[in-house]
Amino acid sequence: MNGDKVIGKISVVVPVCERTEHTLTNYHEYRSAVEALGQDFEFIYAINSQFRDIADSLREIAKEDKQLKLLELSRNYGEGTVLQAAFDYVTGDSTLILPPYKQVELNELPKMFEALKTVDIVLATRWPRMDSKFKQTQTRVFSNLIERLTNQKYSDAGCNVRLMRTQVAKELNLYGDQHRFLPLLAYELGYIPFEIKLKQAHENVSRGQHKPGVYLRRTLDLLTIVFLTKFNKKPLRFFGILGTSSMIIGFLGLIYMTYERLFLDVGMADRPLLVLMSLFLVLGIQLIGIGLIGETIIFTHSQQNKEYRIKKIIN
Amino acid sequence: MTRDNPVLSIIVPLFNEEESVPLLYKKLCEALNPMGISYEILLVNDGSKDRTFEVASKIAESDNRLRVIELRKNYGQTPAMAAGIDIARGEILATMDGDLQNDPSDIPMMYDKLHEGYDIVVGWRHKRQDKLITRKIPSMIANRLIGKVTGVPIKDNGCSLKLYRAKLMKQMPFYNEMHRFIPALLSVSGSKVAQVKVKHHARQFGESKYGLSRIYKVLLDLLTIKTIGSVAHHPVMWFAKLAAIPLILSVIITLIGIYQLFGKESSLVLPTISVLFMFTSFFLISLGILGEQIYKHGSIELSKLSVITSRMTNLRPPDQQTSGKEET
Repeated sequence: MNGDKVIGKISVVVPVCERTEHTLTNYHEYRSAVEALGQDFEFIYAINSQFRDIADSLREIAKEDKQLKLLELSRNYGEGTVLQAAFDYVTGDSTLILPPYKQVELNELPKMFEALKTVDIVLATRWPRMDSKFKQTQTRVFSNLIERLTNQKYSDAGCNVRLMRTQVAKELNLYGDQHRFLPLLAYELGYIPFEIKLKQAHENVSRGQHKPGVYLRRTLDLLTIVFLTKFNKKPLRFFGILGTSSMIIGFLGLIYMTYERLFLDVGMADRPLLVLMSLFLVLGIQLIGIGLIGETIIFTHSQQNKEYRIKKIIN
Repeated sequence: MTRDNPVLSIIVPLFNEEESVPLLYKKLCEALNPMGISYEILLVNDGSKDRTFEVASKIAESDNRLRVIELRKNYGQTPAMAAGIDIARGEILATMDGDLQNDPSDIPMMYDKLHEGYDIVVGWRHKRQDKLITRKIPSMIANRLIGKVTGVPIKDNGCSLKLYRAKLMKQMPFYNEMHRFIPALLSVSGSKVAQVKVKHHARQFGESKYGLSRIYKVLLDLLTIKTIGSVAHHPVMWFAKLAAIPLILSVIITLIGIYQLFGKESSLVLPTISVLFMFTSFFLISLGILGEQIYKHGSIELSKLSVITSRMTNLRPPDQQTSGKEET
């Protein structure tokens, strides 16, 4: 629990979902780095079905190496789903997430474990960065966007090296591509993330650019997260604002048209603008209706989904 | 000290109240000791930034009737109260603010009132010590509105000082900023609500923690409460009522369109709009059906709530837990 200083057994979770050239060599490096920490450990590789070849070679290694455990998924899932699936099998006291490609220098890992002695979740931030200014700007823009939308500061959302108490991992409910927002979701559960700067790995530098589709997907994910974290328990606040604004536009338009009809002698019934304004009105009503349904869902499930999390009870 | 369940549980959410805690504890003890019943005080520390938790747990060391609940972070008043309500062991629960604006000396009087046969007793700060423009007037409007819409005319919904029967309150969904709608929500299950005047003091320490800009929020919450309450009693009906508005509009527009047919001009605009409104009305009715489905699969059983508040003759309540202390 909180305040206890034990690192305990370390479970390393590696989701294999993308970019996989060095997975095998990295495993050996990861293994010796974690072994050097002097704790019990296990490695759980959760592998999407796309990377059957990697699974095959890892399975070979696992014959000898009992600390390597494999979870081969039956199809390709988002990294969030893959991680959460792996969390179910974690047996350690602290869970370290490492991407299959190296993002930070491994000799920096002990710093993270040092930090975990006082907090529940530690995020690595790649610093100093070795890659192009363009990539760095990208990280900064994304980080600013998150801060703007959620009032929380994460300097490097692209760095997937994260260390947490296993309790945190098990409590999370990641799916899709939500792994990127793991800190935000952990915060929702009441765990305050702690950031630590680690040197970026050389191998992390020479990566290609993302396809444009990636940015669109990330933005959509971010919107979902904002909705889930900010309006989770109050859907009508969200849909209500959209709905009332739409209705107000519709109303103002109709009032203006009525004014034109009455005083300026402009026809009303034959103008397409009337259709548009009615559409706004109708959209508003529908959005509010959806918000109310959302509220009904929250209400009927409020007994299972408690909003608060208790840290400690005295007496 | 016995660890039996106490009769009364006082729940006080605290947020940055390190100065108030010792005085609050003293006042509570002064008010509760003469009542001659067993009680517990639950201080819920809602992620305070100051030393509230340390101060409270210090006192708890010497008095095990004082229980301190530490939340992981700041959640807000209602979730903090909900935490206290879930942890409380008493038969009767009382909630109050931690900022000493409520006076614990009102609790014995409210306790007696509850035993006159009510399920919930609500405090009414009839001489409220707050700023007129930013606090009193908005809350007056809000209270009027809440009373009108919910049909439960409570003069002061914002007052945290309330007493409830635990059996009822523990079943009640309680989240968001619902604390101001508890009387309305409970009345959904047929609870009897009493209202008593209570004392109210000006703030002694710290800043007021609520601002003005909540009228819009209250309006939306009100719509929510109305929906939840109405849907609970007549599923579909509430959405059908909403659906009537576009339907009527649709009929009116159709009539205008027909009238126009006899005149010189006619266009596609009016029929389009008419159909649009009609579809909206179908949409809303479908939402109503969806709402009913959600209720069916949800975990709230309103029948259980209504059993708690019903008067029973020669009947045993389904949950045999009643300690044989049934009055009235």
